[in-house]
Amino acid sequence: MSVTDAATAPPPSSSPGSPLLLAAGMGKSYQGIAALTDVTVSVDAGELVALIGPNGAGKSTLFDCMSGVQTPDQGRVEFDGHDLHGMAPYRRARLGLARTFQRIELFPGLTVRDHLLVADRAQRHRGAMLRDLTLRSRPTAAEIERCDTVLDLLGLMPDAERPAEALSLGRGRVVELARALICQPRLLFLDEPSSGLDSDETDEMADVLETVQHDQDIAIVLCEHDVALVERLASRTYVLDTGRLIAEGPTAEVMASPRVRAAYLGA
Amino acid sequence: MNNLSSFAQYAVQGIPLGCVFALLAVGLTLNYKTSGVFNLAFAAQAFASAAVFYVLRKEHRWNLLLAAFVAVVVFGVAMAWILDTLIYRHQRTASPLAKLVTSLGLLVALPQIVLLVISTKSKLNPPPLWPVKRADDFLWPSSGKYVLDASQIATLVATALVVIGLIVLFRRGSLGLQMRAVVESPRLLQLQGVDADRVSRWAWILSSVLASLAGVLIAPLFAQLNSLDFFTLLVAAIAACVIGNLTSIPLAFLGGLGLGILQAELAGFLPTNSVLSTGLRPSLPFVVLFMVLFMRRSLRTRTAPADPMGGVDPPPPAPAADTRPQWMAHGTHVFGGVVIAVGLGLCMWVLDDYWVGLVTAGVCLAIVLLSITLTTGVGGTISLCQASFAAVGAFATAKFASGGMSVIVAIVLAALVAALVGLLLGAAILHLPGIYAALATLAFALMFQAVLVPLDWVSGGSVPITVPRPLIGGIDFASDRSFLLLACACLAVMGLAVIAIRDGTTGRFLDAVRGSSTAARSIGINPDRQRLVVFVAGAAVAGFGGGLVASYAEAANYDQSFTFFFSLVWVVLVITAGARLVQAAIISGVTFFVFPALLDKLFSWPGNYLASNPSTTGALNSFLSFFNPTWAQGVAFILFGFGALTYAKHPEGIIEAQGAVVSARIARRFGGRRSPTAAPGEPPPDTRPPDVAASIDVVA
Repeated sequence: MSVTDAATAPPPSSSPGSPLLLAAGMGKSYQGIAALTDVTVSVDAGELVALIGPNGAGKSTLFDCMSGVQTPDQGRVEFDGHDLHGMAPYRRARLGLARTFQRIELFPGLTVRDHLLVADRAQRHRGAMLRDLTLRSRPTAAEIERCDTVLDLLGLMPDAERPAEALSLGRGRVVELARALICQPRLLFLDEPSSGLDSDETDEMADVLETVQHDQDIAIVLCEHDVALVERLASRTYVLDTGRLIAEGPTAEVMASPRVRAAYLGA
Repeated sequence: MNNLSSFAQYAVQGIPLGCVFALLAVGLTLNYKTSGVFNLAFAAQAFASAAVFYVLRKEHRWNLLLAAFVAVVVFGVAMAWILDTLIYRHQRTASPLAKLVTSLGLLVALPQIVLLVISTKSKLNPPPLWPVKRADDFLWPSSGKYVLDASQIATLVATALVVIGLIVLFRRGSLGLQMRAVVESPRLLQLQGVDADRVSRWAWILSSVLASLAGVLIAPLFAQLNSLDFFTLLVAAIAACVIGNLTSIPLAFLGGLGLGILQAELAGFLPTNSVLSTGLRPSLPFVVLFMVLFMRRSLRTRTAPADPMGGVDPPPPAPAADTRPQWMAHGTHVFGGVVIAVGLGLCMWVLDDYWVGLVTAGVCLAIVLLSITLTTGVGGTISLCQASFAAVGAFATAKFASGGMSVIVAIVLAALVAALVGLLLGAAILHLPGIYAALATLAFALMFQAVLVPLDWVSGGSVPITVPRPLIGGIDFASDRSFLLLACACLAVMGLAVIAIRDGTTGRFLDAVRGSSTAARSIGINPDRQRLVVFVAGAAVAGFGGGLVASYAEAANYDQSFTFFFSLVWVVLVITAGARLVQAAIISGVTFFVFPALLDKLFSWPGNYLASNPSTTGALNSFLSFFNPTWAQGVAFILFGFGALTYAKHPEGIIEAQGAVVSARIARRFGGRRSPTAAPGEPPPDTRPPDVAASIDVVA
C-alpha cells in the first residue's frame, strides 16, 4: 500500500523543502483562559514528531485545531501547500490528514472489517446513494484486499468480524489506527495511543508505528505521555506547558533540557 | 404620537398571551432542566388537568378554590407520581432520544385516556381560574383603554409568582442544584449519598404541578377543550424555550412575553385581510422558532451532556438478524413471504370491501412510513413533519393530475417536488443536534399547516382537489382490489430501495456517523451531507406515498390524512415497531387502519349482542352495556402511545426484540445448539472476550 495514491490524492502544491504541515502562531482560549498561545509546529513528510507536555498543557487542543475539530482564535494551518483555514474536518481528512483519539472513538455496531470498509469507501465514493440504489454497493475484491492488508499488518485478522464494542481498549486503539491507515494518509495525528495500554501492548503499538512510518513513509505527530515511547520513536519533539511551546528540537536534546525536566519530568 | 400610543396599547394587549407562552416555556424549561426530558407531553398533562378542572367546576359545580386545588395540586402530584413510578424512574439513564420518544408516546396516549375517563363529549367554554362570574368583568386600568380580563390577570399573576419562585429555588436552594445534578448523572449523585430517585420524583412533581397550573390557566383561551390546541400552543411556547437555550428560566419568560407582544403588534398593525396577516400572524411563533433554530450558531455545536457513569451500561445486544443462523434467516424470509401471500389472498378472495379498503389504505400509508425508516432509522434524524411531505406529494399529485397528466407520472413528479421541499428544509436544519432538528421539523409542519394549507392554490381551500385512480397501459386501477395490487407493487419497490440504502454504503456511513460523528468526520465522511441525502430521499418517499394516498382516497384531503398530529403518531408507531425495519413500516401502516377497526368490532359486539338478545338482563346486561364502540379510536391511540414506552428498553424495536427471543427459542428447540442471540437481560455472547488480557495478541 503506497502512501499517496496518485489517483485520489490532490497534487502537492508546496515547494520542495517546505514542511508537509505548518501550524503557525496558533492561539486558542476558552472563556478567557488561554489553552494555546502563539504555538508554531511544523512536520516534514515521513517524519515522526512527538508533542509532549503535562496534563492541561494544550496538546489535545492543538491536535483539535490542526485537524479541524476546533477553530483556533489565531494562527494558520497549512498542509501540503493548502491553507486549511475554515476547512471542515472531513475535507482535511480527504486531503490526507488522519487521526486517532485520546478518548477512543469507534463505531458501535460495526465490525472491525466494517470500520475499515467504511473508511476506505469514504475516501473514494461520492454519490453513494446512486450506487446503493443500483445495487453496486457490495465490497469489491480490491476493497477487501486493501482491508485485509491493513488487518494483517496490525494483527487484527482474528478480530475482523467482531463488533467494535466487544474489543478491549488496547484492541480498540489498534482498530482506530487501522481505520486511519486505510485512509492512506500522508500525515497521521496520534493522540495518546498508549493510554490505557500495558507495557507489552505499548511495545507492540510502537512496532506497528515504526513499520508504517518506514514502510509507508507516513508523517506522524505523536501526542504522548510515555517518555520511553517518545524517545524510541520520535526524531524531533515539541514540549508544551500551559499552552506555550517551551522547547523543540531533536528528542534526545529536548529530553535533556533542564527546563523540560522541570516542567514535565519533575526533575 | 398616535402610532406610539397604539403601539403601547397593542403591547399591553399582548402581555396576557405573552404570559401564557411564558408560563408554558418556563414549565417546559424547568422540566428539561430537572429531568433531561424535552417533555412534549407537557401539553397532554396540561390538558388533563384542564379537563379535570372543567369537570369539577362546570359539571359538578365545585367551589372554585377546591376545584383548582384538586386539579392543579392533587391531580398534578398524582399524575407525576404515577408517571414517575411507572415510566420515568426506569428511564433515568436512558438516552435523550428514548426520553423524547417516551414523551411523544405520552402525548399521543394521555389525552385519549382523559377523554375515555371523563367522556368524549364536547367541553365548551372552559371556566376561568378567577372568582368572577364573567371573564370580562375585570378591566384594568379602569379607563377601559387597556383591557385585561379576569383570566389574563390570573395568568399574569401566576406567571410572575412561578418565575420568581423558580429563580429562588434554583439560586438559593440545594434541591435545585440536586435536580440539575440528577440530569447529568443519577448514578454519580447516588454515589454522593443523595437519593436520586427522590430528587427526580420531586422534579417531576414540580413540573407536573406547573403543567397543571398552565393547563387550568390557559383553558379559557379556547372555546372548547381540545388537546391539540394545547399542543399547538406548547409548540409556540417552545420558541421562547429555545430563546432561553432550553436552560434559562428568566430568558424563557422574557422570550414568551416578547412573543406575545410581537403577535399583538402584528395583529394591530398588519392590514386585516392581507396575506401577511392571515398567514404570518397565526404562524408567527413557529416562524420565530424556526428562525431561532436556524440562525443561532451556538446550537450547532451543542451536544447532550454525557453521563460520566455511562460506561457501566452493558453494550446493546446484537441485532437478531445479524446473529441468526443461516437456516433460520432463510426460514424467516420464507415465513414472511407466506404471510404476505396469505394476506393478499385473503384480500383478493375472502375479505369484504370494508376490510380490503382498510388494508389498501394501510399499504399506501406504509409507503409514507417507509420515509420514517429512512429518515429516522437510517439517518438518525427524528422528523416530525413526514405527514407534511406526504401532503406536499398529495397536493402536487392533485395539481399535476388535474392538468391532465397520467396519475402515476403525477405521483412520481410529486415525489420530486416533495424531495425539493425536503432539500430546502433539510439544508436549513440538519446541522442542528438531535432534539433541535426534531423541533425545527415540528415548527415546519405547523408553519406549513398554518400558512400554506389554507391557500386555495395549494389545497383547493375548503374543497379538496380530486385525484383520479391510475390507468396504466390500459389497466384500470379504479377498484380497491386492483389498487391494492398496485400499492403493494409500489411498496415492494420502495421497500427494496430503502433496504438497498440502509444496507449499502449510505447506511454504513450513517451507522458510522451515529456511532461517532467526530470519528466519521476524521475519515472523510460529511455527516450533514449524509443525513441530508437520506432526509431528501425520505421526503421523496413520503411524497410518493402521499400521492398514492390521495389517489386512493380520490382527493388530496389534508384534514383527513395529513395533519401534523399524524406525523407524531406515525413516528411513534414506526419507532416502537423498529425504526430500521421495512417490515415495521409495513406492519405499522396496516395496523394504523386495521387495528382501530378491529377494536371497533370488538367494542360493538356487546351492543350488537344485546340488540339481538333483548331478553338479556342482570349482571351480563350491565357488563355488556358498559362497552362503547366510540372507544375504539381512543384505545388504539392509547396502545400506540404506550407502545413507545418500550423504546427505552428496546431501541431496536419490538419486532427486533421479539424476533431475538423467538430466534433463540427456535434455535434451542430445532437447532441443537444455543442461538448466538442473547436472551433478554443477558449480555450477548461473543461480544466480549472471555479474557481481555488474553485477547491482546495484536501486532506482529
